[in-house]
Amino acid sequence: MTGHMIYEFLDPWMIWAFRFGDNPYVGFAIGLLWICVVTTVIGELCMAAVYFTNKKHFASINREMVDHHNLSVRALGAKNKIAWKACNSIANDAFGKNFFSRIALFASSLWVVPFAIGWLYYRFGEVDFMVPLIGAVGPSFVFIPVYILTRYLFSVAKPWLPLFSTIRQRVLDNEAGDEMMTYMDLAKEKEERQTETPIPENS
Amino acid sequence: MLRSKKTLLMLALVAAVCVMAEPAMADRLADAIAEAKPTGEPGYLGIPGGPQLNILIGLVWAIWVGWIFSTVGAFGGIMAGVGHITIYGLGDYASSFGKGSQMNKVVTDSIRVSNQWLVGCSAALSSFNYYKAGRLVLPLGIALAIGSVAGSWLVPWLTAGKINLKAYLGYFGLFVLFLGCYLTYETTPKGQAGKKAAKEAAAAFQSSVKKQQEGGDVDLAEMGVKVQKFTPTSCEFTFFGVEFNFNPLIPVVGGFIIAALASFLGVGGGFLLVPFLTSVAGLPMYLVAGTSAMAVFIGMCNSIMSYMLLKQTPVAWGLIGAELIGIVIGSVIGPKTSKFIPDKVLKYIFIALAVYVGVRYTSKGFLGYSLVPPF
Repeated sequence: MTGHMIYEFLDPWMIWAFRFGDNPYVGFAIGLLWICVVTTVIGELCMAAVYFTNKKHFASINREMVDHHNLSVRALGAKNKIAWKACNSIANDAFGKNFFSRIALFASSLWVVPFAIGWLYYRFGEVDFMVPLIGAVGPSFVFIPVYILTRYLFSVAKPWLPLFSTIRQRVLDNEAGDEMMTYMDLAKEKEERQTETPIPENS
Repeated sequence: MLRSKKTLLMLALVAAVCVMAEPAMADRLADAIAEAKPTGEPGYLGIPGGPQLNILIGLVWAIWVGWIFSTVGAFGGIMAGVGHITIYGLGDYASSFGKGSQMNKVVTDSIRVSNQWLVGCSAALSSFNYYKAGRLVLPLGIALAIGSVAGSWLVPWLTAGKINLKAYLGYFGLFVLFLGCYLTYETTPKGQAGKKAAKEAAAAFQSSVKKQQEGGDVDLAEMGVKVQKFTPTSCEFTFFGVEFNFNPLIPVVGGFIIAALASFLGVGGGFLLVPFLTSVAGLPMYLVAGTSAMAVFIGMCNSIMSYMLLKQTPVAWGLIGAELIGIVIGSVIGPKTSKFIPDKVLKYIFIALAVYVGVRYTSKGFLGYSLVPPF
């Protein structure tokens, strides 16, 4: 199976939106938006499916990272440099694992994008999109920024979108537990303790 | 109108991508085709007679790459590179045009950028998330970014269109060998001792926290970072009353070297940056993680932009898409299977792999033949 065969398969699903209306510019804008929305929705659904397939794994690596980080913050608060370095280095290892797992997870929302760009080249590769100062650009010059904007707007709208708001809540529930401490939390903890057990004036 | 920093960041990102997204890139490839005059059915990048890349093979190889991502962490970018060079036969195809030909160099650059697209695009999301969480240390990020931008711009500028496949293979192999040596060191008693000591110290502190609720005696006057001394070569500061010091030139130089290396080899570089910042500058993971993700993102944008915009390097999008699907499948399988393989065994597998790939590519690149089979 070659890329060309995939683009031929995608063609009827993609091209109809570009033929909307008589004005080619309007048609291109509608088509581009259609592709961006489809790639975003498919990507987000795939990411959710991958996450829930391995939800225990994601929760556990996240837990390990947060726990050791919080311990390192407490070690710093206790001015214990050895414990700080130890906890920080373990948290760093856990972060590495978490980071690369999340990269792979993120890839599940992105795999649609190269196919979309590839199809745009298959269809519009011969068209020169002229941009002042830069000159002729390829279709990805217009696709990538519109995709990022669509993805951003989608993430803002997520809490109100049916299905996606549920997915978001379930991810939050899966990773519920101690929050990652900031250094300001140390001060807050101290203040709370002082409020709970006030020091007697005569002590 | 611009009410939040998030919106500003978003606009900056879109602007950066507008500059990054490649222009019509036919010129360089067309020139190379005109010079080499290949014949046959259009194949890779539409080159007449180019390899007909089977996307299913790309998918299967990428499953392996994804498995590595989710079990080992680093090494994914390296394996993606091995896939492009060896599994799809792009290495042999580039070599077939001879050392000095344009086609050899175009395909070599295409391999480098394809690797970077695979590994690098995720740094964008990480940076965005860390920025939202307030976990970016801007001065450090800027120091790193200066180094990263310089490194990831200079390398494509100096080497794009100049590096033939054999030279690239040689350096790629050397880097993998170095990684193999580092992994081997980590399994030695000396390498293990450091980790064991860290685990013991962490466990001891954890139990003392449980007993005494340690960690709450914070002197509010000493909160945060307080710089004691700052010269071009020395920065001494206290962080919550604990003394730290590092050389400010180190993030700049380190950022430069790591970005240049990542750009040259076509890998991400994040796996080098985080340990570099925590061990050299002694900074907390909480802050280093986001800052290094930003540096990787800036370096990556810059490197991809330089290869594609300035040097008109083409990539095969369908192949990258198939590889991303494979990475996803591999990363789903990874956590489910890795629990049956002890960490130590996993490490030995990767040492063997790194040594094999390293020796093969180094010898092929610098000697012209492979010291290990297939010769």
